[in-house]
Amino acid sequence: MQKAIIRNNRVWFFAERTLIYALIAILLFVTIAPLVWVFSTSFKRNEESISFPPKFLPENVTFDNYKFVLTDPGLVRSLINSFVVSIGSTILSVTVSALGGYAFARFEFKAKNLIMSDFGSFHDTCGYKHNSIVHYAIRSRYAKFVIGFDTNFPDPYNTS
Amino acid sequence: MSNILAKAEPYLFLTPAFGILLVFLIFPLFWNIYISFHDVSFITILKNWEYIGWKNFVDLFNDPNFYTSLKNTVLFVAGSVALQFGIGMLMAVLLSQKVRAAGVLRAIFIIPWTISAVIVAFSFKFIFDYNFGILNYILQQIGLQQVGWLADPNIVIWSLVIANMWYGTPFTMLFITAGLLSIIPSIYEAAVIDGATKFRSFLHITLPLLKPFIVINLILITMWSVNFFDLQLVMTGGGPLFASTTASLYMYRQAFEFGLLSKGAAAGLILIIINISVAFVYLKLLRR
Repeated sequence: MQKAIIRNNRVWFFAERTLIYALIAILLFVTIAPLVWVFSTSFKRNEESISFPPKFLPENVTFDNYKFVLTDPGLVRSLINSFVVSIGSTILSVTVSALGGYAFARFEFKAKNLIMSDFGSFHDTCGYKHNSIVHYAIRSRYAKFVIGFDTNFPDPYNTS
Repeated sequence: MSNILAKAEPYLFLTPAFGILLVFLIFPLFWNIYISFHDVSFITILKNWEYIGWKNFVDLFNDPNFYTSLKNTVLFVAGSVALQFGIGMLMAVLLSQKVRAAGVLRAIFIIPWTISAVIVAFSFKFIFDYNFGILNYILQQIGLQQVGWLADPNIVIWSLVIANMWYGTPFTMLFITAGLLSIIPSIYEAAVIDGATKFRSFLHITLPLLKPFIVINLILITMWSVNFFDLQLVMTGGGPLFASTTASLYMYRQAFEFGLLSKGAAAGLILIIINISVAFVYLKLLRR
């Protein structure tokens, strides 16, 4: 009797593990399949990348695409632009948000609750519509994290 | 003197943040409102801006394409949020089940979110292509008809939802994982001692404790989906006709494609109102 229960538990345990790993495998496939596809396309010749039927692996591996991109003077300029924009906005938003976050964490003051509840959400509702795509990416990745997380992060235990 | 200084100190710390908000958010917002009540287009931009009252809004609500775009936004947002949240939650919960190499898997799952939306759009444009796309090739191999993923007006919005799902799901996974990690494990141990099954402890412990995380996550992904237009712009340009134009892209197309800046501003204003009301509803749910 005791043994049967233990064996039964074991079967359940293995079934559950298999299910978990199978689901993870499916999700993993869906996540990386497009990435692999793009990666493999980057080694194809132009006419091969738009041929039908599509090939999973390039027939003739070519580095021409990389050569073309890396010797393009426009790329160097745009990489510099990316660095300037991302480093600049990161420094700015972290500095500004750290100052603001410090004020919220350290002091008690009248407008605190009012600002805390509206600060982050206001940023989300009217943000980044009129900005460039790069700016959009930076704002949504960094500024929102810093401002949103510091001031509006939920406290599941209601310790405060 | 020192008393006044002490009182002002927190506000001094907040001044830079509010300065930035003022310059980059509040000023553009009012500028937007100003433009939406004037006649500004590419033709009149250098002349006097004539005050025309509510005409832009009237034009907007008389435009059948605007209703199409609102309908598209509803479909796009509902589909994106449901799929992103459902799958992201599943990922987070699966990876919290003492899986081997969970850290590595999390790192891999997060990759799509770190890619620029424009690159995602180009990749999916290739995958969904009617003639040489991989999806149609697979369908053909199984013996099914080719599907005009980006050409069929009834399907195109769902193709965009799939692309957005791939792009946005990792954020939910990350956010919910943070929430799961914040739950103290001893609560689960207590539940096990009390004889709770895994499913019941998920329902009665995990979900209530995750609630704030879930609500904030839903607010963020809803707003991002409403405002999102990179995918639509690159993958279809809003076409065929207006079949994949969401409200955000409608605003962009009116303003910068057709040159009707003030009509675009009016559409933007309506979008802000939609966003604020959505956030309001979610926050009400959170408070309850």
